[in-house]
Amino acid sequence: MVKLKSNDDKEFEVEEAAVIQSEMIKNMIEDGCATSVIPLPNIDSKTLIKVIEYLNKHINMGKAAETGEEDDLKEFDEQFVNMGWEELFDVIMAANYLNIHELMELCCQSAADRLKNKSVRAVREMLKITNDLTEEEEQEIINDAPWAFEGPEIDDTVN
Amino acid sequence: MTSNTQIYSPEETLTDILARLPVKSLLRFKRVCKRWCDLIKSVRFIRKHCDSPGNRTRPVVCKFGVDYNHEPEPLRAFNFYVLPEKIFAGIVPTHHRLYRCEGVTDFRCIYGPVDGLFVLENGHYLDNVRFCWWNPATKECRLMPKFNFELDLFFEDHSRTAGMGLDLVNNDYKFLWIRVFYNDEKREVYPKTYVALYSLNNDSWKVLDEPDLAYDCELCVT
Repeated sequence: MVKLKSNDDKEFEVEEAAVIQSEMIKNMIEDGCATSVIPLPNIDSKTLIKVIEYLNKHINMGKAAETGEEDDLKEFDEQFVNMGWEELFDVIMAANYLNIHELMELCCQSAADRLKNKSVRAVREMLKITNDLTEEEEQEIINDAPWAFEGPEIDDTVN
Repeated sequence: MTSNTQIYSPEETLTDILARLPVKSLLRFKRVCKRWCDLIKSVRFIRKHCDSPGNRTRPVVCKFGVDYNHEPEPLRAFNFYVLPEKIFAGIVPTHHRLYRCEGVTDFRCIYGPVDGLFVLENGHYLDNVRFCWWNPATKECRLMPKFNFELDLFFEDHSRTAGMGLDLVNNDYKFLWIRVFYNDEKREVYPKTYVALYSLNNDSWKVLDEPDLAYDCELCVT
């Protein structure tokens, strides 16, 4: 078992087989630097719980393919990324810090899929971004590529 | 506790996400705010977007030709074809036309692509050559500032070579232009190679006096 400590001083025990999906922790263990508790100064407990949930589910990726549990894993992934934007950004930052390639892929792709067809207005509202472009600058961007602002796929809803 | 782990910034998180989006979304999202606009336009982002696995492009062929049988005057056009992912020796690959541009009047040559960018050359004459950057994916064209070598009166066009590339040290797209002139008075090639380098970051040309290239050799620029 490996102990991880979040930046709000909460400790979590994780099986070594699960935690070594993180390249960073795997390297620490191999270098013998993971004897007691591994402090993770960039990750809060809420995010760390999500990451550990992912690691535990993906513990035996290879086996899942053999036993036909792939669909189960897919379903888990779909459910997993079903979270708010702030939370998703936190998990991406954590996945990058811990160097968990698959988790990083999953979350970034999910974020991109959600944004892909959104209108400018919807993106601003979803991500709480204040527009700081002048009207002229905006018009120039539209004039550069008017076709990018038209099309039946463009979705103005916020979710 | 001191750590060097804060290297991964929210800026990079955003880059990692946006790099997975298609061009149409990116062009639209330049309007979200200044930060997004600057990020999407940056050379670093463009490279990352090109390298993104989902955006791995298939080989494209660009063909420029003049149809002299076309009435009333020859038709000049260029076509882009996309080739299949696998190409087999001895078999002509099927190719789909992506884009056709007809009636290009004084279009002379196309260079590239590097990271999806092309350089177009226009003008046939001695001193009115212009270049422009062209990004077919975003349908954007950006004219390079006018540039001319110092010409002598007796100069005629002799040969020219050009090429584009990405300067990895400065993360800057550059375009190299080499010209050799013909001395019309003496009826011989003028013994000097003229070289100029354009930098996209500075949006300006610089004359390169070095290297002292042989004027009568064939040059290949990559």
